Amino acid sequence: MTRFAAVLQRVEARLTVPQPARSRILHEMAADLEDLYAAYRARGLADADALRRAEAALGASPEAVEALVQVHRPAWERLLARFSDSGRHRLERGLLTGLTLVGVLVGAGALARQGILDDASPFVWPVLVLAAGTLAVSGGVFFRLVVKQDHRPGTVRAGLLPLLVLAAATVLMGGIGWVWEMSRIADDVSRLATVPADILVPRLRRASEVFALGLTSGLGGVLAWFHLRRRALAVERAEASQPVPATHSNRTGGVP
Amino acid sequence: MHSTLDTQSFAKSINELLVLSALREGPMHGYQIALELEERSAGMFNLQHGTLYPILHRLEREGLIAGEWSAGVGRRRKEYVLTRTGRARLGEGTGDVREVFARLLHVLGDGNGLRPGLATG
Repeated sequence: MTRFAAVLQRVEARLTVPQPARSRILHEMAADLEDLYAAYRARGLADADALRRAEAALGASPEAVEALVQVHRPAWERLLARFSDSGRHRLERGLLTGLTLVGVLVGAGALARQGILDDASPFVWPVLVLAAGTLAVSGGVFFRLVVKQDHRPGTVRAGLLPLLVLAAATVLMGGIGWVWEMSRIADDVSRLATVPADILVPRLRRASEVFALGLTSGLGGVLAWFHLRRRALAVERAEASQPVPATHSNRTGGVP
Repeated sequence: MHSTLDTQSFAKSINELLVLSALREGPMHGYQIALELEERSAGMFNLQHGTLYPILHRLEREGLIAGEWSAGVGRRRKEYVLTRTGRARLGEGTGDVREVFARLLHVLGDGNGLRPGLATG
C-alpha cells in the first residue's frame, strides 16, 4: 500500500472511468506523487512536509477528477449523452436485437443462396438456432465489455459461460447431425446392395453441410469467447492491481 | 476576417501549449512537466497535477503526445513524448498566441483613448 493511499482513495472514489484506464491513471498518480515526495525530501524537507507538499501539488479537486472522467468517458457514453437512462437502455436493446436479426438474416440468406437450406438435414435448424444464440450472446457481451465498457462487479464475466456452452452445443449439434446422416447412409448401404449415386451424393452433402455449419458457427463462438474472456481478465487484473482498492460504488465503468 | 476570441478555449489552449512546450525539451513524467513549467515561468505557471492529467490524457488521445510506460525499479511510471503532430500544433498555437497578444497590445497601446476607470481596471 502506497503512503499516499488516503489521497488516492479519494480520487478513486470519484474516478468513474472504465478499467484498465482507471488503474493506469491511479498508477500514474501514485508514481508521480512518490517522485514528487522524493524530490521534496531531496530538497531537505521533513518527511511530513514533503508528504503534504506532494499531496497539495496533486490538487485532485472533484472538478479536476471530473475533467479526467470526461476525457476517459467511453465513446458510446459520449454519443448517447443526450438520452435519458431509460431511453439509452431502450436504444441499446433495440440496436442489439436489430443487429442480431440482421446477422441472422444475412447468414440465412447466404445459406439459402448456396442451396444449403433446400432438402437440408433436420439438424440444420437446431444448429442455426444455436448459432443465432451464439451470435446474440457474443454480441451482447462484446457490447457490454468493449463498446459500453460497463464493468460492474459480478457482471464482468457475465455471458461468457453461456457463450462457451452455446458454441460447444453448436459444434455438438453439427456433429450429431453428421452422425445421424451417416447412420442413414450406412442403413441404406446395408439394406441395398448398391446405393444409387443420386441418393448417396445428396445424403453425403447433407451430412457434410450440417457438420461444417455446426463446426464453423461453434468455432466462431469459441473465438469470440477467447477474445471476450481476455478482455474480462484484463479488466479484473487491472482492478486487482490498482494502487488502492476499488470503491464498490464506482466500478460501473463510465456511468456514475 | 478574424473570428471572435473565445477566452475559455483560449485559456485551455494556453495550458495545452504550455504542456507541449515543456515536452519539446524531451520526454518527461507528469510531475516533471509541472515542475519544468513552474521553473521556466519563475512560478507564474503553476499547473496542479490534478489539472495536468486531463490535459495530458486529452493530448494523448488526440495524438499530440504519446505516453509510454517504463518499468522502473519498484513501480511503473508513465513518460510523455511530443509527437510530430504535437510539434506542428505547438508551432501553430504559438503563432496564434503571438497574434492574439499582438492584437491585445495594440488595443492596450491605444490606452489614451480608454476611459480612466477602464484603464485602471
